Amino acid sequence: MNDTTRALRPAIGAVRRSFSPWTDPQARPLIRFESVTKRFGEAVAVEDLSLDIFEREFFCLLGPSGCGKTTLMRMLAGFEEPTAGRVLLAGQDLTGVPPYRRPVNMMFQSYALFPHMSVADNIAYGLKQDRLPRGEIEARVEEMLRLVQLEKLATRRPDQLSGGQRQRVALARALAKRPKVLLLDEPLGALDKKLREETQFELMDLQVRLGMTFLVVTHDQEEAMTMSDRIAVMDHGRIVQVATPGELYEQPRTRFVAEFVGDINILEGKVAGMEEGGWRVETPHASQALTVFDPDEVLGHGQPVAVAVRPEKMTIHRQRPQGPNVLEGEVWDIGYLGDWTVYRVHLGSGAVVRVSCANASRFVADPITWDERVFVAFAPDAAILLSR
Amino acid sequence: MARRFTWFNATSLTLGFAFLYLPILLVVLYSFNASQLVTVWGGFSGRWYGALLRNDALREAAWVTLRVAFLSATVATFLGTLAAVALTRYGRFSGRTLFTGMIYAPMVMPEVITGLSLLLLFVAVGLDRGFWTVTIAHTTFTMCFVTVVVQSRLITFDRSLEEAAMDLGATPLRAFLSVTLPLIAPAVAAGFLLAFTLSMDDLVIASFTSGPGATTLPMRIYSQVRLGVTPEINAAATLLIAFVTLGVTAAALLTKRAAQTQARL
Repeated sequence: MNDTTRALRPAIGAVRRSFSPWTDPQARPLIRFESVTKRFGEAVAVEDLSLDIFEREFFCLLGPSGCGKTTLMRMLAGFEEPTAGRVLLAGQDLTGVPPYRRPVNMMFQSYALFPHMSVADNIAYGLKQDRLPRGEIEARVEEMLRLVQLEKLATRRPDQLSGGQRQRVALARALAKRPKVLLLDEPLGALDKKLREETQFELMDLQVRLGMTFLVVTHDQEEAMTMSDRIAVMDHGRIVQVATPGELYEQPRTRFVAEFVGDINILEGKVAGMEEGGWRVETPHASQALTVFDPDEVLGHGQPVAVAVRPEKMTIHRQRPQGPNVLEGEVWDIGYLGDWTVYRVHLGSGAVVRVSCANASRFVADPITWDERVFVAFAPDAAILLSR
Repeated sequence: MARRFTWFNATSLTLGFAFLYLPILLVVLYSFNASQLVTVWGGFSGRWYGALLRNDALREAAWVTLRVAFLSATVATFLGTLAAVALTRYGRFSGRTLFTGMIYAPMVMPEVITGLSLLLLFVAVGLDRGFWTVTIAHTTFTMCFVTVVVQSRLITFDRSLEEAAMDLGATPLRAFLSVTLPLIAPAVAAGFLLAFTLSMDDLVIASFTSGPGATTLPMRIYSQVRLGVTPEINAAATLLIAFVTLGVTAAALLTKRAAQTQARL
C-alpha cells in the first residue's frame, strides 16, 4: 500500500458505505442501455436488454461464456452497433459514433499492448491522438506510470514485462485519457491467483480514488463479488438479475443465478401450505415437510418449487437435532480445504447435498468420518424458495 | 519420427538437388572459364566479368531491368498490401470469393496469356510500348504474390491491437499506419523483395509488353543466346542468379522474423 492510499483510506471506506445511487429515484444514470438487441446473422447475442449504470459505480457484467456480456461492452465501446435499441452515455445517444470519438476507454482481455512501442509510448498513444501539447503528454504519462508503479520500466518493451506488469501498462494506457467510463474485459483473467487477489483490491481503491465509473466483464463470480457495487448476471443475451453482491448471493431470483453465483443445494418439492408465516414444502428428500421463511415469493398450493440452501448455511450432526428441516443421510465424501471442510452427504432419496463447516479449531477429538449416518439441518430463514 | 541416415534418402536427395542445380552450377562455373569456347574448360578467369562491364548493350539492359523491377515492385507492394487488408479485414462482403479468385488468378495464369492480354490492352488503349508498359505489366503479375505474403501475416495479426488504437482515439487510417503497418512491415518488405525478383527474371511477359529502347536483361540474354552462347552471357546470368538468390533469401528471412515477433507476444 502506498502513502496516498493510506491517507485516503477513511474516505474510501466512507464512499463505499454510503454509495447506492441505484436506490435514488432522482439519480440520472451515466450509461443507459435502452432495449438493446444485437444479432450476428441468425445468432442473437443480446436480446432486448435494458440496463442503467450510474456514475462512479463499479459495475460487473457476469455470466458464462457466450452469454453476450462482451458484446454488450463492445457496443458501449463502439466496436459493435446495436441491431435495435440505443446506448446512451450521459444522456447522449451513441448511435453511429465511432469508437475513436467515444469518451470511454477499454482495457482488452489480451491487453493489446503495442509491441513495437515502449511502455511510455503505449501510455502516451491516446494522448498523442488528442494532439495534446508535448509537455502535458509527458506529465500525464509520468503521472500514470506513478499510479501503476511502473516508473522504472518506462523504456521497456511489452515483451520484456511480466504478465502483471503488462496488465498495469494496459490499465495505465486506458486511464491516461481520463475516460468517463473505463471498460475492463476480463481484467484479471491472465494473472495467477495470488496476483489476481491483490490486483482486485488495487482496482477497487483506484476506482474510488479516481472517482471513475468502471464496467467490468467477467465470468469469474468471485472476482465480480469482491469488486463490484452491483452485478448484472447475464444468460443467453438477457439480464437475469441486477443486484449488489450480497443480494445476489442471499436472494437470487432464479435457479440460474443461485447456481451460477456460489455453491447451492437444490431440493425439489411442492408447496403444501403456509404455517406461522413460513411456507411448508413437501419433498421426497426429507421425511417431514420443510419450513422456509421467504417473504419474497408468492406461491400457490401444490406449485412445484425448489428449496435452495447454501452449503455453509447447513449444519451436520450425529444426533437428530431439534427443530425443523432435518435431512438424513450418509457421508460419502469429505473434502478438506483447510479453512473449510466440505461434506457430501448422500440422502435416502438418492440426492447428494454439500455441507461446509468452518474449521474453527485446530483439533477435533472425534471428527465425522466416511460412511457415517448423519443429520443435516438448516434454519427456515437460511433457505430460499425458487419457482423459476 | 526417426531421422536416420539411409542410403536411399541420401541418393534421392543428391539426385534431386543435382537435377535442380547442376545446370545452374554449370553456368556459374563456365562464367569463370578463361577459354573463348563455351564448352571447353580453359582455366579459371574473371575476364568475362570485365567484358560484361564494357558491354554497353548488356549494361543498358541491366539498368532498365533494375528500374522496372524497383518501380513495379513498389507499386505492386502498395496495391498488394491494400488487397491483403481488404481480404482479411472485411471478411463477409459479398463477392469475396470472386475477389480472392481474381487476385490470385495471375499466379496460375500461363504467362503467355497474361503477356498477350496485356499486349492487346496496350494496343487497344494506344499506349506506346516501352519502359512504362513493362512496368505496368510487371506490377500486374507481381501484385498477387505480395498479397499472399502480406495476407498470411495479417491472418495471425491480433485484431484487438487495431481496436485498442481506435479506442484510444485513432481513426482507422491512423490506427493502420501507426500500429498495423509497423508490425506487418517485415511481411510487406518480403513481398516487395519477392515482387522485385520476379520482375527481374521475367522474360515472357516482358517480351510481349516491351518495346524499342526498353530491353530488359533476360530479353537481352535470350536474344544474344540465339546468336550463340558466349561466356559473357554466362557471367551476366551468374550475376542475375546472385541477385535473385539474395532477394529471395532476404524475403524468407524477413518472413521468418515476422513470425518470430508474432510468437513472442
